[in-house]
Amino acid sequence: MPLVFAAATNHGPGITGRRDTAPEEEVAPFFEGWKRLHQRMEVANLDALVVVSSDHIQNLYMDNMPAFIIGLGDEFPGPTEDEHFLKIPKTVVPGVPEIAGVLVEEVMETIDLSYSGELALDHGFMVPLHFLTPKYDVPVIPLIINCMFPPYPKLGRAYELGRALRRAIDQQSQRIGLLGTGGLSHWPASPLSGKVAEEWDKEFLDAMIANSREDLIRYSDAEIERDGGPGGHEIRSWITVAGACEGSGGTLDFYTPLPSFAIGGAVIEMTVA
Amino acid sequence: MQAYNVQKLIFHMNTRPAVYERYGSDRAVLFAEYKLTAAEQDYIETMNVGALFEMGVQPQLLAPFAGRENIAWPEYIKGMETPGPLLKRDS
Repeated sequence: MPLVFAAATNHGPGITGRRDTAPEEEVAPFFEGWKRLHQRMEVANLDALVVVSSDHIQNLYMDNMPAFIIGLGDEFPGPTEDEHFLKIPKTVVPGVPEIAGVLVEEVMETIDLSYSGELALDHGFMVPLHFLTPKYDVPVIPLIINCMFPPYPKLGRAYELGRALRRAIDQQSQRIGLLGTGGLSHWPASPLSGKVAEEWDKEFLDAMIANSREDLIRYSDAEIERDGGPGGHEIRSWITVAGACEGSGGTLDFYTPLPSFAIGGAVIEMTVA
Repeated sequence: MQAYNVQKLIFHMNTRPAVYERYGSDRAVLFAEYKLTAAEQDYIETMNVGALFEMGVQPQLLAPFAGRENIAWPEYIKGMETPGPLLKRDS
């Protein structure tokens, strides 16, 4: 069974941690969009979900920083953040090492991946999963892209990672989904927290909709930092999803700036052809 | 790699309960092990998140650490905007 579902959306600790102080009219479109995404993921009836995110310095530091690292564990504890900070109860999310291990073998034909049997899931994974697979009954394969400490993997490599993942997933018999999380523009936990660059977000989303590799990978790291903020580096997760769907475009479900959650919020579902 | 040691300590305090426990019980030795400067020690003890940010500490380290130190989000953001101690130094 080839890849059966691919989408990209946001994460952010404020989505759960500061939900109670956010104006309802601002955040309702976001949660309605995630409800629709949840419904579409249920229809996809996934056997496993590859989730691509950054690590927010909860697993990885500069003493040994991989560009890409995949989780091969039987299970993943999460969230790593304190419950009173994130307002998501601690749990354990099942892994699926028998699939993850096979994916790694194939991906490594073209992309060198680090791997770990002990990754823990931070808000980059847990916030979306809390809404999209709330029973945590879909086994997860976490894939982390370094978006925290430069030098970051190049955007073109994130796209190539997606292409390699697709090739690997398409060789499996199970129904596998791919979800990228992060971005869009944001200046997380910084003095500019709450700033959202709408034009920058929309330009990037246009490139996702068209799945234009050239447009998606045209940004330099300095341009991302300046125009999309430090959190903008997480567009790498989206680009990986685009790479997995090369040749097909995407459909934007919604875009809405969410200053209360300090993100430009969106869901895009890619056509899986 | 800016502020390598102080970021490493905050990373370990955020992710390793035993290290955070030592921050409460064995602080001076812990700081020495991580080779923190006097300024870094002061900024951590007083939760001067704005000063830590200005010296290059990733705010993704600071936000969860501030939460653990019972700094509310609005107070944390205020501290990022205007550097200064958010906590009094333990005497």
